[in-house]
Amino acid sequence: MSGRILLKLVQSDYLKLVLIVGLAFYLSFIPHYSYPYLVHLDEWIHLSCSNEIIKEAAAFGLTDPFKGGPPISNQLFEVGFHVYWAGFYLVSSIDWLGIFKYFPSIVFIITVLSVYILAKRQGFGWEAALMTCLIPTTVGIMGPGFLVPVALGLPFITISLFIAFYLRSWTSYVILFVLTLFLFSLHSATAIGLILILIPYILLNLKDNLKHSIGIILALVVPFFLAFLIVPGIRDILVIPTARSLLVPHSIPEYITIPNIVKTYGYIPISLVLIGSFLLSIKGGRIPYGILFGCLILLLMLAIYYTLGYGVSMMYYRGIQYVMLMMGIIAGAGLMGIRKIRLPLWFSSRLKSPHITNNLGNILCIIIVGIMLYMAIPTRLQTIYYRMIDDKDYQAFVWIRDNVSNGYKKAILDPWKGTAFTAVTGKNIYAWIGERSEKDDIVASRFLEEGCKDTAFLKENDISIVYTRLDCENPDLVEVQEDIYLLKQELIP
Amino acid sequence: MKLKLGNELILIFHLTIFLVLIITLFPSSILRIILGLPFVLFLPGYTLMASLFTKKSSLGNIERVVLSFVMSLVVVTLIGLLLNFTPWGIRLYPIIVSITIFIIITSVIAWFRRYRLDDADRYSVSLNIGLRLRGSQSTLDKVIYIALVAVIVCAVIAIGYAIAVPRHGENYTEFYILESVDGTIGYPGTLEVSEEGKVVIGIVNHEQHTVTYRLEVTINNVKNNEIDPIVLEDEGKWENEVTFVPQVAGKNQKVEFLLYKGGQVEPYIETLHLWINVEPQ
Repeated sequence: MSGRILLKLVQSDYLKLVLIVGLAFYLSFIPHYSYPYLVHLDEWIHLSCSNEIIKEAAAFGLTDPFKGGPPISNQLFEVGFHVYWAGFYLVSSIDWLGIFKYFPSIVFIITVLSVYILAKRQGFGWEAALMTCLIPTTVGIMGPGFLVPVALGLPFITISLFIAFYLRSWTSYVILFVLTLFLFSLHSATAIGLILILIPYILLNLKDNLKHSIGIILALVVPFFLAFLIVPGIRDILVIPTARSLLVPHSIPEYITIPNIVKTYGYIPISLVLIGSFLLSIKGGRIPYGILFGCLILLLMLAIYYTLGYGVSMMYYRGIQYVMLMMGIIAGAGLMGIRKIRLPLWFSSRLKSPHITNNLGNILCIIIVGIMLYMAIPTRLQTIYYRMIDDKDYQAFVWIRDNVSNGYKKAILDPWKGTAFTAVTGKNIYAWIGERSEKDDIVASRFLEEGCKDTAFLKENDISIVYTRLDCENPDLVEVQEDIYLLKQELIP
Repeated sequence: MKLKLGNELILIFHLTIFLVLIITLFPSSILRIILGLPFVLFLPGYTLMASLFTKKSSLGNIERVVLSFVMSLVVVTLIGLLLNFTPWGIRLYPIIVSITIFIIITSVIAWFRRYRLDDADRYSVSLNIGLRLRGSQSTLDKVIYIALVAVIVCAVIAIGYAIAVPRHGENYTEFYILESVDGTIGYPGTLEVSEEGKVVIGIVNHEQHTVTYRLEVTINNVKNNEIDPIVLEDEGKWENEVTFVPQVAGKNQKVEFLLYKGGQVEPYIETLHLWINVEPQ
């Protein structure tokens, strides 16, 4: 009977998962919808770092791809991310634009599926997967729409929880150990986030399941110390400054505040988180409490940083993603609670429409999901993302990469386009804007605005390429392509 | 309906070897992308999971698939980091060889551990798709099932196609000056009156159709040389030496290269220029 089969299909987790996976792909693809290039500044930085690995065939002892000199912090503390994508690029031969356009969504699909398998054993798999789809992507907090370490780290948090919660053999501790080691190489903030989330679960197991707790503790802590041996300079560059920063209050940028994030995430999902928290606390047990208190620890960390300014800034900026991941799981429990609402028998027996009364929870669930998506999709479509380069810039950069010889090593251009320039051409730049504008950026902008006339400045700073759309009337420069100028060879030191 | 694949590890082994051959013999083949994706996204993790969790009851199918994706990322990264400390470095062939060895070793361990278990306990790939397209099912039932499968297959193909096939770019022409074809001569800086200056000019047609171009060289806005016609088919490239001969001595003379399309009077794209000093003979 077609009706029965349709009902079976609707009830099947597989069909729901296909739709949820489609939704996850769509929502995380929004930043890339009509723009073929990398969107976030950090994506260009990571691409440059992966290119540097490919160029040197090494992961450590590299130079800053932008300005030369000692490596930037991303090259040291997110080396795992760059190594993976370098290897991926070499083996698959998919071009970088394709990787950065489609793989944020593919990684997010893996995140959503990992949430599904984690929550399924608690009875709210697809609900949690659906709520996870609503993790927002913005330029400030980043998110699943970008191919960055924090987004790639999300499925590893849920998979590590899955292993810690459900698998209890020596192999599970080995896998957890390897995962944590990998996370330290990928994104140390994610590894610390995972440890924080697992602390309540470890404590809950101490009394009755000491062996399991010790197994998890070892799997989490040993990689932390191994990272000291593997990553050069981690103590002086990362650990000591981070420990010192704990004692100093920090200011918070306006665009990353908790009220803003709550607004972006949505009030209905937040209400579902509250319902889910209530239901999980009633249900009890180590795993529901582990999920609940894991999320609370992260929330507490964010609240302390937001209100008092104390904490590690990186954990605040990136911790928002981990909190939303955990909240998605808890909201899934809330949605399941609503789906299971049944009218009392004495009441439903008096009503004339048994179909509606028997399925009240399902109907409420459909309405809530419908409203959530009706509100969430336009909000995400309206989110503003900056665009660092256009077609003309990209074509010019590709031309420089393919036609300008290695003798021309360093360029000056609009500092805002600097990271993209290095990522595409592999050449150094005089200035690039990272988190904020610096002195070099102002000098570069002034040089270009004044018509690139100062040859002495170019020679002093070993600059031999100028890329600008402004007028450039310097007799020492040859316009070799539209907007591309090369310093005459006899002037290059 | 239950589909049983038998020993999937043998299939994985063959796919891996096939990929190695493709990369070695046909590096630009589309098969490299098709096989390369699972090679770095799925297979190492899958065989690792197969070697660690040999019992059917240890993990569900979706759990196994998700863990395979996640663990593949871990395996490829850690192999890459280990290669950093070897003389071979992080290069294409060391990566491929290392991942292949990893897949083979974990597959052998999985095979060995599996065959120590009873048939009933042993994990094997099977897909219970609950598909009963028999006479007892109505036509509508069959249509719904087939439509569902078709939608999923189409979505997967569409994503694969979008990734594998580069986007169709806008229409434009590349116009550039090179120092020389082999990059050894510098741009002319100082010339004598009547001495020939040389540069290599390049034009690449990305206009999606055949275009006739005209190239003009001027010195201080006075026409000095012209090349006409230059007919290029779509994606055609013209890279040739272009000469100019200065007639008047003087410093900072602007040599401009103007590219016209068809019979147009205005240059098609922005002019290129260089500056020369011209000394008396």
